[in-house]
Amino acid sequence: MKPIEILTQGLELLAALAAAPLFLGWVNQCRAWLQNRRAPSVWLPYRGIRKLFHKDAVIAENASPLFRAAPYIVFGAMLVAAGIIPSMGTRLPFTIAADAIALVGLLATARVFQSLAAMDIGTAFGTLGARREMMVGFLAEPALLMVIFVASIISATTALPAIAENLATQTLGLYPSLAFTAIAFTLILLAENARIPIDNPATHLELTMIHEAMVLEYSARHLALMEWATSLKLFNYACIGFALFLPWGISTGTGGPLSLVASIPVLAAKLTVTGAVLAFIETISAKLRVFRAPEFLAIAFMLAVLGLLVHLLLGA
Amino acid sequence: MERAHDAGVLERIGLAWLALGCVLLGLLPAYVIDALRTVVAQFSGVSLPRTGAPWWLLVPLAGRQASYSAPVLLIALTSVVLLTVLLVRRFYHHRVRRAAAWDGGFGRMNARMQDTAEGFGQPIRHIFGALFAVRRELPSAFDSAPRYRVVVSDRIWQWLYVPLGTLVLRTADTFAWVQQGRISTYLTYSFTTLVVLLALML
Repeated sequence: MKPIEILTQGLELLAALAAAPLFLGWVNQCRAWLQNRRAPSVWLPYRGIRKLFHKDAVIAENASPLFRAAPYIVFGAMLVAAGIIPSMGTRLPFTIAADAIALVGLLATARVFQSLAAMDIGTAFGTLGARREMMVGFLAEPALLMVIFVASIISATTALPAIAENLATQTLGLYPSLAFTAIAFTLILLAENARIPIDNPATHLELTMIHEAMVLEYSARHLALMEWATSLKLFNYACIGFALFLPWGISTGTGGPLSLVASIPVLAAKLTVTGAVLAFIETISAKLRVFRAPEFLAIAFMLAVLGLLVHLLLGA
Repeated sequence: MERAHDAGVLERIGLAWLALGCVLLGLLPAYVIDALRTVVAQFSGVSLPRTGAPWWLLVPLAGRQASYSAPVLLIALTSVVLLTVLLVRRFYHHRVRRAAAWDGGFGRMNARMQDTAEGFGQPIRHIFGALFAVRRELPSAFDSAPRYRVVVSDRIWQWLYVPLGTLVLRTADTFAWVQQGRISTYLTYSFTTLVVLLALML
């Protein structure tokens, strides 16, 4: 392992940990602006997490050890996932252990533990959230895999850094098939991160909530970890999107430490624009009924399949 | 309902070993893929390439930068989780207070509010509703003894297998008519067959 590889790996993990709440804060700020509200500070998620860490944890009487362990596992899975996704550089030594398909599995592991913890207490709310989350999950996962397959076929590898490097170093990296899959990926990102057409992150209305219903029984440091994991998930998804569709500007195989430093403002710029676009999409769209979610995700799947067909049949 | 109780040890073992099998398969996929190599070769005539990777690493195609190592991933995940636990315990207190679960503002929770496995599968049944024939009896909110009943049957079973089964049974019935069940009838059949064969030979 070369020093630059360790540096890239460490930097990416630290950046994900540090910047994820900021990205969430930025999306929330943009949303507030677009909705003519006075925007909260971008640092609000940090303050929320800090406040929660200092509080006394209250746990339901019938909670099992699984309930207490789940926030750590979900947080850990999201952090490990951040170590596989090339957000700044492609020389990540850890990707020998997990390719893009394992990454989808890692995200599913987090989902399963979150749902199990939600069902652990035995309240109707928790199970309701868990079952809805699993519904969204089992529809979104095939679509996400299909998106990854298109990019893998184009670059003949399933390792995410290799895909990003391949697409970034091509002279003309424009594929019509990737345009279809990019739209599909945006839909999956919205669904998986409990954003507006599928779930409203600001709601506490029982009929509409998915993610909030699952973390309802959590408090203090457990809730803090869950919130942090949620922001990490959004950050991870954004970075998967960059790796597949906007890989330009990341430090590739030939670049030195300077290119790594140069990739930091590029990532910041990408996140800034993506956050604003995300807030815009959320503002102009209405929350779908829960049973319209399958249609939404079926569209994502069809678009990804269309991208695959465009690539396989037309070679584009 | 009064006699309902948790699943026993044997029932749990029955599910646990399946789950354990899944975990082992995920952790050591290289062995299973090695064992499947001959099967794949026999069916498709093409053998999976041997990549010469160590036991802990799964490399689907040699020379491509894609690999999967479940043990390394597990170690990484476990160490990150343990590190998180240690750091949280180190920097923040670890007091825990136990309290009743939030009841949704309804006062006392009872068995009617409990969710079941049936409820968990409800979205899937709803999404694939077109494929299933679902008959439901829903209770009203004012029933003193609410009764919820769902019968899910497979439409394909009705459309495809039932007509096919009827056809097979009818054909069998027709043939059964031939089998009268008397030795003299069978002897007549044999005799007729032999005569017909003789006629054909000549």
